[in-house]
Amino acid sequence: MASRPAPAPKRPSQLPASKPPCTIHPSAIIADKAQITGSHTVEIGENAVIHPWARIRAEGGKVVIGKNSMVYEGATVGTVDGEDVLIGDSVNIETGAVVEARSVGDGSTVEVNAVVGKGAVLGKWCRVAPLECVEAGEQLEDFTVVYGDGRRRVDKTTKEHAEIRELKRAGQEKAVQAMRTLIPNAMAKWAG
Amino acid sequence: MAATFPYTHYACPCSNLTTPASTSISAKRTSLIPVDAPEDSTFNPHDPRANYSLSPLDRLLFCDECEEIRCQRCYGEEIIHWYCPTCLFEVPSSGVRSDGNRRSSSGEEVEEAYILQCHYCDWSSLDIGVHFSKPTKITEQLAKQRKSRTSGGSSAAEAQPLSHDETFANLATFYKEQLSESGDPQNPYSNSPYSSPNNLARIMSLYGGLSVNALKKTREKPQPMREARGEEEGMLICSFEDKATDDALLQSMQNLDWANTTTAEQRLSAPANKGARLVDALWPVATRLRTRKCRRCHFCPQYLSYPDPKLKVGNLRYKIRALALNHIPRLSIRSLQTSYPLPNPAFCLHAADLLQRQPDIQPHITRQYILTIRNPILEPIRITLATPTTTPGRVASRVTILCPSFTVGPAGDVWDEALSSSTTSMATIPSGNGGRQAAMESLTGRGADESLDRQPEAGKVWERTKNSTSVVLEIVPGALKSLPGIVPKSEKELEEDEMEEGDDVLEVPIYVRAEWEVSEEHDDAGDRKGGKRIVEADGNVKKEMAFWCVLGVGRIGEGG
Repeated sequence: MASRPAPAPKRPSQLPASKPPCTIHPSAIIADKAQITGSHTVEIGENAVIHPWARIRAEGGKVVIGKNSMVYEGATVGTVDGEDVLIGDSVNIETGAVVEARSVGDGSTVEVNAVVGKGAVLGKWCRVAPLECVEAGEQLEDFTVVYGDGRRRVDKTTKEHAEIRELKRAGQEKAVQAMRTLIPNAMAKWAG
Repeated sequence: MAATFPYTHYACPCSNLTTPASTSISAKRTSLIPVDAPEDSTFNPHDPRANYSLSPLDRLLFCDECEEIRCQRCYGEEIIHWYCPTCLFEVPSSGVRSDGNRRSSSGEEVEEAYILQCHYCDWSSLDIGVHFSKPTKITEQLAKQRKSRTSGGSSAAEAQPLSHDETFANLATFYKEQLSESGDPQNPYSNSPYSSPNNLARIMSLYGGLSVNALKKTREKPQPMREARGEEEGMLICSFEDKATDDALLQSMQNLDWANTTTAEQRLSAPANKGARLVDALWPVATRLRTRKCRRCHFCPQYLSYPDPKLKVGNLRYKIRALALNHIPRLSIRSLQTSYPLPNPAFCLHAADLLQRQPDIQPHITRQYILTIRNPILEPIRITLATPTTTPGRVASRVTILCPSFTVGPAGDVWDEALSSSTTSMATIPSGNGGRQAAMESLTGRGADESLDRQPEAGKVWERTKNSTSVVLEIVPGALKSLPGIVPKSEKELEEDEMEEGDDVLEVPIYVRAEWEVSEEHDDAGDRKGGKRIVEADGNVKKEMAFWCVLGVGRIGEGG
């Protein structure tokens, strides 16, 4: 008798219809309720943490998340109709932020509810303050701080003092370690 | 002066203490009440000096011990404590004296050193090259570093202008010297009957004087105070010679953008920042502390207002709060003819209503007003009112109080009022027939159709509620312009005829006297006054209180 493959069991509704091809480092932590959608590849680096309800959209292009980086709750990384999004190492995308940038340099932080437009390029060690906006296509030099009502300044302290950069990096590692203990890993759901 | 009519302003008794004004040139100026009884003189609300002693009820406090109203000039403010507005940390006054009125904040660690860093924009004190050896006493460390910077710079050149702090110190010393030389009296509350030390010295010198020095001082004419004349006295000379630094500054201001220049607010934040034109030159300034103040009567050390020092409480609570509102009989006036209730500006829904001016009062037409006196204390009081027949000032209006002497019931709990409903007798309302009309009467306080028919009668109270009594005032406003006469006026008379601002406002000064009796146990002020009270036969203490107040009725229009 010809065996017909049994119909696949109904998936729970929270899984997206299209699961993108993911390359996830075994040490990364991805929460169960995180959402990864799209058809392009998604790469998640070593020790990265994706919080619950974070959204990674690989629909317009691929998404790469560097090591020791974190994507917080409700944040959106990736474009729907744009290009690739590359997030560097030790980067924090905080709660509610929307990042559609072409790339975000190492050590940068996009703070709560900030918006980074399509194709923008953020340098290293940048900082976008809460609710700030980076225009589409805008290029921020290394060590730029976006704050106030759209003001920009150069962060002299981090630029000129290597020990400050080292401190920030170490601080980010500690934060990542703390988050790893708090978020149960559901990486298996997304791997492979 | 209140913007809306009608208003009531109360006169503080401090106006009694001022010496009578010296004979002035214009005959229009009448002096305020001298120390004698008010029957001799009238409070003139149009006097330019009257504004200093009249205040609305919400500005007045009341001293229990002196049993008098205290206006803003009669109480002093003292600081209870200082606290940081952000973290509500209380700084003891010794800390304030040493550190200045600033609060220091903590910083991040860099190796063995500490820095100040902003969590928002990532500025740190390393940008100006400042780091600290320990996380405490930051203000002190900052001050030391600032001093070493500015003094290090100026010691290089000789002709450097003096620093801001030195200039300030020189100027302060100079002014102190000037004050002592010109003999300015510092103590406004001296008890001497002579109005100034110069007078006293002059009179003393007539009798031979005290000593050689005193005589010498009186013979020398005291120099008037002068201003600083040189750098050592504290004058800051602005010179145009230092073109090079100015040019460099202008050049850098052109190159850097607007965001890099300082705002006036930043420059004013600290004396160190006064000359800083570019953001790079700003010096970190600690958070300004806030204070909590208490108010004390000037004449006795009684607290009039003492807020609760506990900071964590959400609302500001008071340990002591003695408002005039709760101690003196309160007057208010309203027109008899207008509809009831009057629109209160606080409850206006549309902005247009606020701007609507009340119609002007027509001169020479008799109008009747209801004057309501409310009693805030727990005893019934006997009120006597007095007012001059014609209002003082340029425009003379005739005022008659139909019932100048009456009683007002005590204020009490709400329960008392509800339980003893029978005693809230409206004397003028006829007994109801138990129907709807009677119920309406008890709610609104008077008969529905009665108010139209009632006529004010002399000697009778208009309306009486539990703790307030209303009487009727008849006012005939005077005309603004005097009638043209046959004889043309001389220049002087024309001058007097000119209206000054505020002359068209109809203000009625009223002298209010309240008498009441307090049973001996309840009287607290008696012990403090040292047995001054007189105890009656039945164990009650007679108390009395009197003050002037001014009722603002309205503006008199043209059309006499």
